[in-house]
Amino acid sequence: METKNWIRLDNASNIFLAARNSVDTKVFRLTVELTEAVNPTILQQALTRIYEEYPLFHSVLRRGIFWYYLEKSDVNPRVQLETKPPVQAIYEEGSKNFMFRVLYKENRIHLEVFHALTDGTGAMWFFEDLVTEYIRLQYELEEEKEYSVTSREKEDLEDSFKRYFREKKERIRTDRFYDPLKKIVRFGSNTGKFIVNPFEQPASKKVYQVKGTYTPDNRPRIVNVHMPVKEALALAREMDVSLTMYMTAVYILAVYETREVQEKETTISVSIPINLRQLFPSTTVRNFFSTTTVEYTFKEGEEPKLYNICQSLNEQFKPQLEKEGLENRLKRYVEFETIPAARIIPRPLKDLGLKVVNAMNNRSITVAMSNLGRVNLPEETKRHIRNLYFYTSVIRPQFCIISYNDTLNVTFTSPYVETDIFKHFVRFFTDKDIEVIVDVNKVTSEELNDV
Amino acid sequence: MRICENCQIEIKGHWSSCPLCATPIEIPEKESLKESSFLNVSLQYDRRKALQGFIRISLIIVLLYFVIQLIRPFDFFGLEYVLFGIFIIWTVIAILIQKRRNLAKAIVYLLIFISLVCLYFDYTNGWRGWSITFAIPILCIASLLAIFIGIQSIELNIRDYILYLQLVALFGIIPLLFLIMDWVGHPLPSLISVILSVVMFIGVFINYRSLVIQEFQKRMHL
Repeated sequence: METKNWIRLDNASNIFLAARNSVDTKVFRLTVELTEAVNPTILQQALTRIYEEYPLFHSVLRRGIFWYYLEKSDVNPRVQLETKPPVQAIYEEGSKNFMFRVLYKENRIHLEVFHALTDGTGAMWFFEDLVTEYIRLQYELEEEKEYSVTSREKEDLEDSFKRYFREKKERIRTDRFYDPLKKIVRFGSNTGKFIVNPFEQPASKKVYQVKGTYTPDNRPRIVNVHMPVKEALALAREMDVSLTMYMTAVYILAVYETREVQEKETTISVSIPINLRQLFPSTTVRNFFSTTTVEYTFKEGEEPKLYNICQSLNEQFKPQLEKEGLENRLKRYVEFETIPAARIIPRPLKDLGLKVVNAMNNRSITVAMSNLGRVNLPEETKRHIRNLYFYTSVIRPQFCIISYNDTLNVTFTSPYVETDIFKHFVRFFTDKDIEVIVDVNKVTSEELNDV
Repeated sequence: MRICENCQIEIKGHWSSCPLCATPIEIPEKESLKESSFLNVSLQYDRRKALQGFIRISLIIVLLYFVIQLIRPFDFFGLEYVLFGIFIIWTVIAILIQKRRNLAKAIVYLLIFISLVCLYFDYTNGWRGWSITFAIPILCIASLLAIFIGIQSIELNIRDYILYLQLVALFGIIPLLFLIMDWVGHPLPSLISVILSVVMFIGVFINYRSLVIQEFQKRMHL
């Protein structure tokens, strides 16, 4: 029997465990649509092979008295036929399930991942390899060296948060006990935040919150919008901003147009994740990201201009990508884990504390977005793939962007039944004569009966 | 594909009205419908209905109390007992649902919860000591035997249960305090509980020493 079959969780994962609930399961889903129906036997073979290459995915999550931890499982994962609504909870207390699941139905393969295991980038690597391997096995393609499964450069179990943001020297001095606490009290000011210090929020500024009717069984409302990527990019270029900023601006505008109450000032903020691998060279499969918030304040009686929103967001976002600011902030979070006082707080209390921090943080965010960019799959597999997109469980309306070939997939998820914001968003593009295809899931019994 | 004239969009799936703006869609006779990528799964539950059910059952129980009082009045207990009973029912159900994946854990939670309830009732009824003389020691003995027999009879992974077994054994030693402080009216239940717990605790520790230590370290890591 192996003596050490467990590892610690990374810095970001603890917040997901504390923040998850029955509405927001902190699970995200990657979906690929193939040109032909999926062969489950081949998919299982592909999964078994790829699983071997990703030790992190062998983990199951367990609860300790002081911390959660990942334990190595000794069973193999099985592909399952999709029968339930998307992004259902993966981690259930006391169960020893994997932290991901591979589902299939007709011509679609889904990978669902619990965010405490890894982030979008890590999951995407696994998914790309899985899909490539499946197509290769199914269509008996030759294995290209360049794209072989074993060639991916990755550090499976590395905790990059620790590598970059943990102080190297081990000090056993008394200041270690209270220094970090002091630092937490005087959190950095305007740098982007993973967790916002509640005491530092300006009391006067109220951030707009979207409200709605929750779906009857907590399944998310999903609105998948497909449009040509070239035309969307051209629009963004017109405004002189990136696609991420452009879409965020259009979304902010849509939220503003559907707001319920008229006030003198309406501040809408968007939380945007930053992939830290780009700034701090790392090939970890585990979570390695941070988030930042950008916002825009609309004034009553002023005609909102998209250009202004775009520019304002851009100005706020750019400095957030500076290494130094990020480094300082993340060091504080990582240091928090090493404070003896924090370590000996029992886990349920830690969870409770993080829940409160998370709830406070949520009050300063209106919506959220995430962009995984462009999918890069081996050329030979592309003719078997129709489309690829992803989305996540949410506590507030959110959208995810990914482009595949010529299609831009903007996928909205919301805990509410209402689709007003998405209507405004879509009409913004159709008014510009852009061809838009919309795919919406059914969430109420009335909708489900409409066949 | 279905088209919403209002939104100027093409819609995938079977919708008779636009999913975004609710405008009815004209469905052409010969249409080439594009199937939705989403699975139509019927509702798993309805949060509104669940809440309604919960309230309904609780109200019926309260109503029954009044009806029975009307037919045949008794003053053995009052309405507060009925309400407390309802609270206990729902708490026990919640514990069982929450901990359904680990039998031993469910037993530990129930043991603690029911012990506290007994203590409370004993206290509010003028402290006659029945809770610590009989209820708690007997609950401990029963829990210990239940987990032990559970592990023997259904094939459970011993790693998952061993610490809970130890926890119940430790809990079962608490009646020793009752004995020492001479709180009990009759020493037998407490005595059996303490002896059984000590034997079980030491026995399990000797038999599965490395396993107990490993599990303990894993769960207690700082």
